[in-house]
Amino acid sequence: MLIGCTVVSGQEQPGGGPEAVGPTGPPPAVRFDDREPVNTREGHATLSWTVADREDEDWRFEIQQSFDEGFDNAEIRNPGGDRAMFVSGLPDGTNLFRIRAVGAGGATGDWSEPLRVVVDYHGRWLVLTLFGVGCLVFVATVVTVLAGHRRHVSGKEAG
Amino acid sequence: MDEFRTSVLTQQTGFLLLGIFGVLWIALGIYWGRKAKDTEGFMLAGRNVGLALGAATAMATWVTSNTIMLAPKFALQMGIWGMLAYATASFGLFLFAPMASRIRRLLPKGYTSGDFIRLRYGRVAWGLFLLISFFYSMAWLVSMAMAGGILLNALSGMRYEYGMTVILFVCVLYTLFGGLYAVIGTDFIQSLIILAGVVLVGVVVITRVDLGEIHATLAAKQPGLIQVFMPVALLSFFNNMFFGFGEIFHNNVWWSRAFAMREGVPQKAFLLSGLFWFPIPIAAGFIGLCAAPLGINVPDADMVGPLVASKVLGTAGAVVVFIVVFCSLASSIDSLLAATSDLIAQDVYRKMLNPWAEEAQMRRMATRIIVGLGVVTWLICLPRISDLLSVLFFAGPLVGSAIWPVIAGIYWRRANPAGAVAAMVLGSTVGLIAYFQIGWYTASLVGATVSMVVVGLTTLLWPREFDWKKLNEAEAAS
Repeated sequence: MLIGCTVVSGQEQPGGGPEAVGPTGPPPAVRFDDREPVNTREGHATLSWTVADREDEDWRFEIQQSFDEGFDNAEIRNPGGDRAMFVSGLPDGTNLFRIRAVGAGGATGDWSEPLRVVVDYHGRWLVLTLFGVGCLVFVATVVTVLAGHRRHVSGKEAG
Repeated sequence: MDEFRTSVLTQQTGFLLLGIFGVLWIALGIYWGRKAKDTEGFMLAGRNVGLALGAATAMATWVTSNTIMLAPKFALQMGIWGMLAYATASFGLFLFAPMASRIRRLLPKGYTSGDFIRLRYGRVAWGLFLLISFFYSMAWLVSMAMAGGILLNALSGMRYEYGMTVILFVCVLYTLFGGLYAVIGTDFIQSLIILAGVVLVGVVVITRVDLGEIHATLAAKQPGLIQVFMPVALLSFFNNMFFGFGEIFHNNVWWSRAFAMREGVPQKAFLLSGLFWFPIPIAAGFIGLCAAPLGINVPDADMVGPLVASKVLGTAGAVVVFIVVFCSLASSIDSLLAATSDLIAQDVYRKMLNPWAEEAQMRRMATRIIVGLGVVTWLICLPRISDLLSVLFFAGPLVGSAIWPVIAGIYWRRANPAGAVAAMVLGSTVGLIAYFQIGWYTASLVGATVSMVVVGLTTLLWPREFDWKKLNEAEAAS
């Protein structure tokens, strides 16, 4: 279970392990559970998927993430044998994901239909306004408590 | 949880650890419970808690299962800003320190935060305050019991229902036997275990990662997590801070500790607890940030902390995480059970239903309420709700709206009841609108802001002099 400092990179074997052992035979089709685009203002989403057949077998999975339909220069993500993956810190815009199953000897199935995760962060005006309001309320709270405490300690505000 | 294909510990190990610590807490509860001779002993530990126990109980109570799960989740979702946002919850302890000293002086014989609101603002504000407080306390209890079930399931493969049930059962039992004596005593031991465990995990993780590599991987795969302008994280920063203020300033968990501490102790104890607590979410958050750089898949964001710790540290790490989680769950659930039962026994039973209740009746009622709270929490938790944040943060605007009625009530002689009621109603309403229209990460901020404006304006426009002596109910009655 020790993962240590291994950093997943695009050069790694499909499915996340160099030996990529797993069920034999052609890997089945995989599809994301979300069919419609996933819209998020927070820059994160949970991707989950289902295997078309031989569901109980120990398939591993490979996910590609890209900004373009052709998946050129795609980032590779390896969820191992898990059936879900939380992705976060996504950049603004449409992020595309596709997935395939990986079996014994690195045999791979077909790529799924891409899933769109559309990130639309809140605008600067709203964010900076609310952040500024937060600063003001924070300062007012601290000043009120400390000023009150000073009066309390000095005995000016009897209790 | 089908997404998790494997767990680090076996179910047997999980049950063994639960058994050992469960029996330990119950035995200590019975041992300390012998000190609780009367209602004041049971509810407020004889009002004689010193600095070490006082600081430890406040710190341990504030390290909840939510800290272990949500602090790494905040970092995973919102990056460095998210990690800092969670740590701002310690500011609530810092600010409550001076408030606790005044609370202790204004209400030398007080029992609950409800006592203060009733005497300061009257029955309408009191009723509203109790509603907010019960809703929040139940949300907190439920979120922790659920978190316990989920965590134990992920760490040991134990069924969610079993883990959640055992944790609740153990906490109900020892709180029942020992009241606040048991809660504070066990909190002291639990706080030491939590601190040692978090430091150990943090140190080991930091020795196994390369900070440069982490930065490079985050920049490539999760750029939003290290950006200065991360919109949702910037919004969460003050939202989380005010949620923490609202939780601490209004809730009887903290007021009961202020009442339980010896004269002169509360201020130092709460300051120390804030200092001890501050690094914990930073360390836990860092662990969450390491998930992707370490190549660890996170199927469920709620689980990122325990998952990374147990995968990096192996079986020994999972055992440490399991024990830390159990301690943090127990230290918060017991406090909530005790403080909420005090609130119901004092504010509802004694003040509304049976003002002539005698010592024995009050004690019986307190124990029944603790059992009742445990059963209700268990029933709500059985159908597992998927997102912990949504459960807890729904209470955010409500507690945010209570911040200013409490602060003004403690320090401003001219704050008036109508202003307090309007602040809680408008703050909660507008905060909930923000929750649904913008997102959970603005609800407490908006609720607190509206509450501040309403209390400030109503105090300025319709000042009403208040005699502080009215808060000392025992003296006023004699």
